Amino acid sequence: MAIDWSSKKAPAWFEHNIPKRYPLPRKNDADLIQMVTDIEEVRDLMSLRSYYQAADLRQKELDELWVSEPLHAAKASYGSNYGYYYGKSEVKRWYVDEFTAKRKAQLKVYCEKNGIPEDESLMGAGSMYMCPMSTSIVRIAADGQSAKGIWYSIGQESDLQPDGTAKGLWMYCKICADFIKEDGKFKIYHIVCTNDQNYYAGTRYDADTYLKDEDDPMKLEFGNPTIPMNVHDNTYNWADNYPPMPEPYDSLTLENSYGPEGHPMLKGGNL
Amino acid sequence: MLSTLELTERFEDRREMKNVMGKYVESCLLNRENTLVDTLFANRDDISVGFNNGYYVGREAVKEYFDAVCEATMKKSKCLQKIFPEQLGKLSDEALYGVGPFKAEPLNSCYIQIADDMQTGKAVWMIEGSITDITTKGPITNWAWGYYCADFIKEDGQMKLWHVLRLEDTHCPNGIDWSMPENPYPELPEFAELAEIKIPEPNHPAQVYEHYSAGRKNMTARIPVPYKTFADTFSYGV
Amino acid sequence: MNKNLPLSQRIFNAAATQEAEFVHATHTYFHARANATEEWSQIWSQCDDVSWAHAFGRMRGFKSVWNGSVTLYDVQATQRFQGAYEAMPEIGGFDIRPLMELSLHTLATDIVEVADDGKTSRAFFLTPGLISSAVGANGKRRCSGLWERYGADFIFEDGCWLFLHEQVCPDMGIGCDAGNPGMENYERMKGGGAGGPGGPGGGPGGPGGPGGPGGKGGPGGPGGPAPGGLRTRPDCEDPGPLHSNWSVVQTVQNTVPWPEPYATMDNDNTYTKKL
Repeated sequence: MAIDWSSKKAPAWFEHNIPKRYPLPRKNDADLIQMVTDIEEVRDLMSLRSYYQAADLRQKELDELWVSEPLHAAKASYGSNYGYYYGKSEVKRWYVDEFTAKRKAQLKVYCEKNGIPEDESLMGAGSMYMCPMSTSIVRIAADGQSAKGIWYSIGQESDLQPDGTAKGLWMYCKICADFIKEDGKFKIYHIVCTNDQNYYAGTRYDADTYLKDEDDPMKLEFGNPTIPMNVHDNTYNWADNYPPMPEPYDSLTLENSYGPEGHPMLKGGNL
Repeated sequence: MLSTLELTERFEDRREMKNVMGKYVESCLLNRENTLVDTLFANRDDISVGFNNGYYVGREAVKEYFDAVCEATMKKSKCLQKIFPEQLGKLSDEALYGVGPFKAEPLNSCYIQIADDMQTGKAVWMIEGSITDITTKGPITNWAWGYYCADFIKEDGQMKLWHVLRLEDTHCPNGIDWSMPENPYPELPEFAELAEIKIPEPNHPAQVYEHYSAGRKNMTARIPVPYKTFADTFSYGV
Repeated sequence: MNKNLPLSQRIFNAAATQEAEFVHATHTYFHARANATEEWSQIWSQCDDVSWAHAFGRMRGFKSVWNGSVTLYDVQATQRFQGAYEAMPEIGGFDIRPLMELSLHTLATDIVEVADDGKTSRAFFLTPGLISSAVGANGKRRCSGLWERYGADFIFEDGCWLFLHEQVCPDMGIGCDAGNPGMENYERMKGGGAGGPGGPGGGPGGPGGPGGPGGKGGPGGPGGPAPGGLRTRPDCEDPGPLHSNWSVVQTVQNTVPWPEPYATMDNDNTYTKKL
């Protein structure tokens, strides 16, 4: 029997949970299939990003898949548990430049180990990176000019180590992103990639000897963000509910975005 | 600018491609590989399935390969029947078939391109798979990272598989770092008969892809790009 | 998908396939926070036909599902709270439900169909997942990997796509990242004599945990009351087991076959047959 919500006698907390449902937007045929097509475009875009990552094509990703209009680029961001890189040039500083430096150091190891001259066409040898994208929800803004999405990824990063061996790392990440149209195409504007846990392949996550927080490889790899802050604390699982699932919305503003301006701790703040 | 009808048709083709590939991997999980050609592939002779070590090209070769996989499954089930007579001894061959392997291959990161002429489509998926196989070392569960790639061709208005390519980065026992892919499990005498299992070699052998190691070059699946007709793009077949 | 329908219906059905995925993904994210109240009040139909099934059985009707999936699931959260509090006294004031665990079942290998009449849709997923906590009830980290399959039916009601039926089929549990489920199952079966298949997984809407060991003499039964005394296992209108974990002595079960194109929901096209 259905619950009669109107006659429920419940404390105020419970009343907040009276069904908040998301009806299928009422649109004519042309507009509805356009929304459906836009959703697929956004899903393809995030899948393509995962293939660019796997192929170490990070600069190509920034050039082709991210915003480029100056007003957008200035406020583009990449967040993780430990803070945000803010502005596309800052995102590049970490996501491309620091990553390339890591790959160059690995190339040196690889070439020395194999007794071959350093050849930049071999960049990435001995390493592997895969973040399969799953469990998507994509919402297109009512004005059709932007989109918001959420994905989950059970992924891995396998890195060549200084001694010439390699090591695999499991990475469990929730990924939320805003997209905005430039020249009629959706482009990545903000990404928050929070990690729930990570552990080396073949090691026990529940072992007493598990990595200390300061040795967390994902924390170390995130470097020195523009805005260091506690974006998501996985100590408490998802108690902080950040980043949250996207809900239907009218148009994108910074305060309802996955950029730092939309983080509950910074909303209305100084950014 | 595509019309409302064209947008609808393109979406339906995408959904069909995802459904077909989903049925492909779920059929493998259910150990029903011998049903794939007749149910999911196009009714033409130039179909293919490819793996790291080469391609099976042509309807007969593809069927032979899938049939051989199912024959191997039967041998594995019978081997387990001997080991567990109390639980499995009374089962008919039909009821026994499929005891053993469990091949979970989640399709993620779906990326699709459909030709401008809408007669073909190309797709790639990333997989974080778990393959439990019955081997001469016993039942071993392996992490299988890799990619599924596929060309589809429209037949009677439906998207059908044309070329399937499964690229595997790792096939490494659970509990071991896949970057050091040693299999520490010893050979077990009760599974020795499985050494006789023979899967036919690809009729187009080739080093298509390599398993990951510290010595491997960086490699990934080739990604579909926008194209007009299939003649303008690359193939996931030979 | 049926392409021989009026264009307007085809477009509606196209959107419906996406909604089926999104409603199911909404479940994933609610469930990861143990937000059962939100899930069952927001994305489920509340009609008498709803059902929720796991290996241990199927609850039928919204009242039964609400009791098993919301009320008793919240009981589990309260039972775990004391252990979490002892490990992390700073959690005062938190919503205690997400502190229980992160139970995250991703959606992959989607096979989706919408009825020609546009009133219902059906979806199959393979779901690799995890149940983890940085600080579990005993103060320690824990993480299990899970392989499960989902069969879900959805209904279009008052302009919304909503869950109608869900069946969860747990296949394999994995210690992360140590041990080998295939070999462990084999050794257990060899040592356990006439053991049955692994027992059904965890509680409703809940852990869906690795199956119990194949014990001597039959399937592992449902778990008893959790610490704290109150039982958390619901009464099921269709008692289980409805599905068994993978083991070396059974074929892979096809409990939730993928949906085929269909005209309208009936007993041949549903994950819960009408009695």
